[in-house]
Amino acid sequence: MTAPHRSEKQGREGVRGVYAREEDRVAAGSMGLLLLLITLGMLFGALVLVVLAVRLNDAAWPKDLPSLPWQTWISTVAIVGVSVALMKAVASMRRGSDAGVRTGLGIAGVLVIIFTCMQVWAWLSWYDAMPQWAAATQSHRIGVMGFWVFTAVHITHVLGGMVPLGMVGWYAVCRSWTVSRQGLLHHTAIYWHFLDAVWVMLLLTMLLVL
Amino acid sequence: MTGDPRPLEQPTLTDNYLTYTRGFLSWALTLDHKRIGLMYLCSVLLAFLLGGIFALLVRTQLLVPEGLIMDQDDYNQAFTLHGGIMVFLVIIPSTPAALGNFVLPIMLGAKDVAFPRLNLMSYYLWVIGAIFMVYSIFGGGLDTGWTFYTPYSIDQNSAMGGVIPAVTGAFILGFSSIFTGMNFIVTIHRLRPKGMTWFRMPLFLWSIYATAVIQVLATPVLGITLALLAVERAFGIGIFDPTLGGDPVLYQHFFWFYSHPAVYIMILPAMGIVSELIAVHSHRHIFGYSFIAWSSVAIAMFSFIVWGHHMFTSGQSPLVNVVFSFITFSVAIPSAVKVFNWLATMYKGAISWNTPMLYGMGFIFLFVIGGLTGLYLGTLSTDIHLHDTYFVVAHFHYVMMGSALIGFIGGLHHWWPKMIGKMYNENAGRVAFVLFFIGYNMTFFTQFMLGSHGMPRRYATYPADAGFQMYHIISTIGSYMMAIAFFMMAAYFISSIFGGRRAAANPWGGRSLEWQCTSPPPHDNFSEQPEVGDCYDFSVLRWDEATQGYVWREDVDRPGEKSHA
Repeated sequence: MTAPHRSEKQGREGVRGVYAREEDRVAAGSMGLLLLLITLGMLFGALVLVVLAVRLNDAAWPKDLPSLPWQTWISTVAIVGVSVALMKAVASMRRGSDAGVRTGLGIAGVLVIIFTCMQVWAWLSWYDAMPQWAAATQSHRIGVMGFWVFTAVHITHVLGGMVPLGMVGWYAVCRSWTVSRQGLLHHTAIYWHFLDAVWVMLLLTMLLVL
Repeated sequence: MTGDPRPLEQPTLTDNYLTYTRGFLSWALTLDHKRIGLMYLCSVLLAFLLGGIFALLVRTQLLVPEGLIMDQDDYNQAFTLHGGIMVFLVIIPSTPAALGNFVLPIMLGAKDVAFPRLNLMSYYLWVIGAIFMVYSIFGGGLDTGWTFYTPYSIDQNSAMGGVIPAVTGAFILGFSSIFTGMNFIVTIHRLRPKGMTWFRMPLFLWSIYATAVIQVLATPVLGITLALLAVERAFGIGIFDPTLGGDPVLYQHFFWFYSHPAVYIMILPAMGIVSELIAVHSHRHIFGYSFIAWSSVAIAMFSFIVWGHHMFTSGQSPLVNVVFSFITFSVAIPSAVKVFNWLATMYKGAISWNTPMLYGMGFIFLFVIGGLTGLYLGTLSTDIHLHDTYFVVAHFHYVMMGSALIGFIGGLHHWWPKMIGKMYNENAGRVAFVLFFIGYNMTFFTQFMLGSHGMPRRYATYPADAGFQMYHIISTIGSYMMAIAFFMMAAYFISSIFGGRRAAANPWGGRSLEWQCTSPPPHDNFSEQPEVGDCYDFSVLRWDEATQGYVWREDVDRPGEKSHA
């Protein structure tokens, strides 16, 4: 048997040979995404649980802890908006409307930037306000540090979500959609819905527990 | 009838995955699961060498009561690094990532795993995690024990500066493990060939599947726990530090919520390997297939609800202790189901005393000892006495090394001819096994006695008049014997690459799909999707002297072929 040329070898090294059809690849991607979300669900669930356990075991919890920075509420509106915009993009894709997809993704991109900026602003405000709460929270540190922990863990996943969002944005600009790329758009939207739900859960925990 | 006495496929060395492309980059950037499996194997064995050196240092130190070679701080680092490296870098990834990566897609008749790029990324995450872990030696040292227990690990004045690099390493290794698990679950769901229903899968795949479920569900809990530990140590966030309102015992709960299932991440794949070894080398249909398959799932489920038995002495309520003790005993049921089925498979089988079979039988022997001594530790009253003694050390080495690692070594011997295309020296393999087996029991069985006589674990010295020294000497000699056995293995494996006899496609007489492709397999595994039969029906094979392997019997139709009669 003659050895294949290098370019042919590289082509066969690619991942497409694993699946008989592009649809199979998308279906595998959907399952992979589901598992990823279960994993992340366990991660965020454990995070909330560990903070909850500390809080519930603390009988002398101080009552006058600082309230959340106002920027947090704008962040909340922004991330909910990302979900809505991505839903619109997916719906437009199903209708075959390129313009709708681009609009949806454009709005989502802007809202993600707003969310991230608001988070940074909220951290700066929280950092400025910390010294005045330092004494009251010395033996209940999670009361003020919890905000950092929750938002930092969440925003690392937001930053991760920007990668597929940027990719589908690029495909939309190029108007270059294949079955796999359409699948990626759908998966990106699901991931951001998940981040949205996690944000709401963390926000409720911060409001009700910390 | 098919009258062709050919081997399952003619072996060829001209177009296999090893020679398909050449050069460093063709390996470093490969998406081929077989190459990635081999890269994992080399990396894991390198880590095993490092962890083994630390083990030998620990054993040498304990030869004399006052300690032979180290001061107490160095001893603390030696046993911590031995534990951390062996658990996170060796045993957890050894079977799933190294052997699983190589074998799983071929067993399924697939060309690769579901997400080849993610697979490569998992490998590099392992490498990065390993670098962080090893860096902890130079980045201030690590002396917390492999469990990183708080408050010691967050105390800047006591624990050494290597805590954050080591914890970061374990965090990254956790994500490598998660991605591998996700990949395997999707691969098994989506890439099974026509005819391979769930209950026609090889049992190794069942065990890998159960392991992957644990990896996906439990590892993120460890991930966030270790991340919080690092942040606690760096910034003092008040979760685990009692002086800041945190709860150090909470760390133990979350750590063991992962780390007890992690014991099953380590041992379930080994059990899957043993199911293959026992059936193939006994040339007898596996007994109680569905019981073995379901027992893997049952063990995976039980693994999530027994973590509290690591904390009987931590001040948990007596009721919680009783509940955890009861559930812990329940794990014995699916474990015993497996053992009984393996024994029943061997009964009246035509056992070939090949090296992999010796490891399979060694596994059963050592696992039974490890399991039965676990009952002493699951019992509340005896656990109080034995807690933090060498009895615990012996027990978990019987489970983790005597079972999980022996399974891996057995699997390595079993699939080595398939991986490399060469046979190793069988006699050398048998001698190494005997040396290893005797050395192993000398090392660890004596530790049961040490522990029951009160020798605490993690002590660098011991009283000269306590009667411990003889046990320690025997234990240390045993560890040297094991080291010699491992070097023997390395020697005959390496020499087989250069001078070994060429391996037939099916040297042992296996029926699962990996034995239907050449040794070593071609780049794409199979030119077309293979037909699936009963992977434990060995009656259709016969030994062929010419190829030194098993071939299809002439009077039996192959799956997918119609009878010519």
